[in-house]
Amino acid sequence: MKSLSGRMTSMGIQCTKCDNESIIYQKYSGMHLCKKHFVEDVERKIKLTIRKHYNINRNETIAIALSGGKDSTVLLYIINKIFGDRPDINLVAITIDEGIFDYRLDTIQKSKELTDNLGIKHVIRSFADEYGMTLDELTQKQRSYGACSYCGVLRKKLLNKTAKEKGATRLAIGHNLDDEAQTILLNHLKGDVSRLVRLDPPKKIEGLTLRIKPLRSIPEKEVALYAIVNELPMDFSECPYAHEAIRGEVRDMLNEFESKHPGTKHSLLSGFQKLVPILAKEYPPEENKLNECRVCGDLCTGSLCQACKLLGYE
Amino acid sequence: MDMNRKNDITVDVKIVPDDNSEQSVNIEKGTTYEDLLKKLDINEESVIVLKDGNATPLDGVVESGKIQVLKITSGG
Repeated sequence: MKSLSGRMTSMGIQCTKCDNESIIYQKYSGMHLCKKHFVEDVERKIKLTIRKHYNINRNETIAIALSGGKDSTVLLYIINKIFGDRPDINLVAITIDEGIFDYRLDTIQKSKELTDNLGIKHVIRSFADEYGMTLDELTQKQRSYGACSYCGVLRKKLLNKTAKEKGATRLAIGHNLDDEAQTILLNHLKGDVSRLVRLDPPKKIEGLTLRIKPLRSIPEKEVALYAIVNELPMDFSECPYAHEAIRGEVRDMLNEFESKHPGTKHSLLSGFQKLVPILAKEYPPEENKLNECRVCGDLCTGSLCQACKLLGYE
Repeated sequence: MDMNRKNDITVDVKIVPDDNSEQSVNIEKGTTYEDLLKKLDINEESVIVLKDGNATPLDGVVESGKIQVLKITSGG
C-alpha cells in the first residue's frame, strides 16, 4: 500500500496550508489543498500569468471568447473578478454559434446565464449569418479537411472580426495547460516550427487583436474543479465532432505520461517558452509578408485566406 | 481466496456523463482512488472524483459510499 503524503484527519487528508480537509492532491507540486486554498492557488497563478505575459494597460477593452464550456466559463468569471471593478476596463463576451445540432444551443444557453448573472455585455454571432452556412451544412458537403479545421479557422475569423468591431484591444481565449501542452506536442510531431512560433508570437501582429490566454498554466482538471467549487453554470457535454480530431490521441498520450511523470505538461510549456524567442529569429511570424485576402480583405500569407479557401472560393 | 473476502469493501461507482448507470465495484480495504481508477481503466488526469458529492484527493483511501467519476471533456 502507498504511504500518504498528507496528514489524515478524521474525514480525509488535511490541506498542506491549513487544518481543513483537502479536495485535491496536486501531484506535480506535492500539495494537498482545501477548497479555499485551491481557489487561491488557481487565482494567484492566473494573475501571475496576466502580469508576466500580458501587460494590461488603462482604458483597454477585453473581449472574452465564451463558448459556455468549462474553460471559457471560468475564464470569464475570473477576468470579471480581476477587472470587473475597474471603471477604465471594458469587458465584452463574444459567443460564436457555429450551428452544431444538439450541442451549441445548450452551451449558448449556459453562456447567457453566466453573462446575465455577472452583468457583462454579450454578443452572439453565427456562422449562418456570417458565412451563409452552418458548420453542419459545411461538413455535409464534400470536404477535404476534418470538421475541426473548418470550425477552428472560421470561428477564429469571426471572433477576431467581432472583437475588432467592439473596439477590443485584447481577445481572451480559455486555453488551459492541457490545450497548450497538446498543441506544442502536436506541432512538434508534425514538425511545424512556424506554427509553433505563432502559438506564442513575441510581437503584436498587425491587423489582429492581441490574443491572451490567462488559463494557460492551469491543468484542465483544475479548471473543471474550480468551476465545480464555484458552482458556475456550464455545460459538460462534448462536441459531436470531437472524435474526428487527432488531438484526442495526443491528449491521451500526454495524460498517460503526466500520471506516470507528474509535471510533464508544465515542463512542455516552460521549455517551449524558452524556445520561442530563439526559434522566432529563424522563423519570424509572417507579419512582413502579409497580404489582403482578395475575397474578404483579411490579412493572410497568400492571396486567399484560409477561411475563404475552406468556404470554397478559388 | 475466500479468506480475503472480509477485507474487501463494495462501492457504488457512477461514471458521468458517459453511462449514467451505477456499477458496484469490489475493492480491497486500503485501496486509493488512484488505484480504483486504474482498475476501471480510467486515466486520473481526465476525471474528477466526487465522494458523496464532494471533490476528494486521489491519494486518499476509498471508503464505502457513493462515488461519482466526472469525466471532464474539452468544450470549446
